[in-house]
Amino acid sequence: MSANTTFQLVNEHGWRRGFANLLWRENRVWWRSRRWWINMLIWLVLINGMLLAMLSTATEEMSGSQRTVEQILAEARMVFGVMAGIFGSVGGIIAMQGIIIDEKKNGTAAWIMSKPASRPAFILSKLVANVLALLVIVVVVQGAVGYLQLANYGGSLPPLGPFIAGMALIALHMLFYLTLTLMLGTLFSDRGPVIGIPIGILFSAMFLMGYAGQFAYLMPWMIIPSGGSQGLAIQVMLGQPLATTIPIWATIVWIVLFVGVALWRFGREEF
Amino acid sequence: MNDNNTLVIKTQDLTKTFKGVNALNALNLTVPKNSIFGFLGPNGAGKTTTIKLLLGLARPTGGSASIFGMDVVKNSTEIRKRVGYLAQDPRYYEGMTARETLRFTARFFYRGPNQAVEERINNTLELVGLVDKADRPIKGFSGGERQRLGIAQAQINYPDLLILDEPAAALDPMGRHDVLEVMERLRKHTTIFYSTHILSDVQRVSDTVAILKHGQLIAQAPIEALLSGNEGVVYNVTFKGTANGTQAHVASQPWVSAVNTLANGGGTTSWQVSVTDEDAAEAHLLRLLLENQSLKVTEFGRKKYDLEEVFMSMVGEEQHVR
Repeated sequence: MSANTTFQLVNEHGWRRGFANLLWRENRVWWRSRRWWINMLIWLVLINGMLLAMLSTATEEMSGSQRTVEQILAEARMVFGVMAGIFGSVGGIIAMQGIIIDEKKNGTAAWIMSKPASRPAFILSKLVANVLALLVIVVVVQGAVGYLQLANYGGSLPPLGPFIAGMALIALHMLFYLTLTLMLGTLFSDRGPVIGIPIGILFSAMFLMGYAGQFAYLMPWMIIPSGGSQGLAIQVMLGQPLATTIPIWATIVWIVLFVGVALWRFGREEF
Repeated sequence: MNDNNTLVIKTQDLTKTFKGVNALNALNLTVPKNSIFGFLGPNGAGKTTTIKLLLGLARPTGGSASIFGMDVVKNSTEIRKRVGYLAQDPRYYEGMTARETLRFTARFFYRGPNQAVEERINNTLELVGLVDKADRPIKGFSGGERQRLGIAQAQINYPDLLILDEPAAALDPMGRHDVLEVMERLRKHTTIFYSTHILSDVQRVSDTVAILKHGQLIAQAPIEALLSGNEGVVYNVTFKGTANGTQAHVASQPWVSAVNTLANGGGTTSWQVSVTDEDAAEAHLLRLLLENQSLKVTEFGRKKYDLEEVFMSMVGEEQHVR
């Protein structure tokens, strides 16, 4: 290239080749458009709006009931855990469903892959940018607002460490579905299975948990409140000892596996 | 001289099979450095498949290919640092403007200095005539504007090899003219490998041509050689006057294999003189004719074929070409 003396050449090698540029583009999609605040608003209404409604109703009903503020706060954490865990994951699945398939179908993936960018960089840039955006919007911001609502209702700040640890488990639960959706995007060419399979797995917890037996421990279902159980995330928030950590480790293994399969499959993709 | 210095692309028995169907069958192709290489073939001949294999967008099921002496499977990223590519139906991120798209593309190659990169982007926009549309989102672009942007992004990195898949197919005559002009301007700096089925474009700008049919290479040659036909060297002669034994005299030369009369009317006669020794024909044929002073030679020259004639004779009349 005759321009080699004029320009500073990109000096990335291996899987990192093109990663910074692709990550810049993916971040731009989230943060340099209306997308981030529209999503923020939706999740604020869905997660914290629901928590606010629940706390307001509880205040009105409290005079005639035997429930204490502590009991209401515990219930509020449950509601918050369900909303953030289930609806957060649904939102994540919806946001992630097209990120690979759309680019495979419309030809932009082939265009990018004709440049000196590695295939892992393509997948990882999408994973990092989308996970980061969704974690900030759905977990961090909603967690912070939820924490302030609980503090306001209880009249004092709840213990911060357990609350953050509980939110981290909710984030882990969400990450399971985000990486699953990403992987399915590399395996399929239609959106149907890419959105259907994760949603199916997510909601099957409500119906199958009682019948799943030991298998339930290998799924992320037990992390968030489901089927009458508090869920590990809420137990952590309340400072209760955990009955088991197997679902947490199993979820981590699943996440690593999903990312690994996505990288392997996209590495073999033909455009 | 080493192949790596003279050849940019070399394929050896390159094969691609899709579900048992051979899309490309043992392709052996050599693309010389600094050529404008026209890759011809009817729809479905395997042109785009070949390009995708060269770029690492698909994997060969057999054989091998190298670009700049590097294997297209093992060294794909290294190769793509020195290649520019325009797809048949180019797609970009619709929300980006043309300038942003070029900036994004340039960042795969350069990280600065910003001023030089911006200057390069401006020059490229000017080259393809998109200066006035540079800051509009691509989603509003016409087919021709997308194609121009495609050429711009393909050569933003000063590629040593430009691969263009049907660069003028979606364009009107003016757009085609502009694209061919850009290609001719770029030939000084780069090798251009482009697929097309617009034969007049090939004849205008290419110096080497390969013809593909049903995934198989049926011809590869410099365009001049291809246009000379495969019947050996033939001269066309048109004259006024009476030949009076000149035909027999010409036919008796040891380097002449046949003299055929094509037309005889309106006072003019046309011959096709087939020769076995091109140098001897160049040196003596016209002189032999002029020995007969009653002849007035009005046309003399080596027979040239139209590319469409050559293409049709090789590919077959049943294939549709423009």
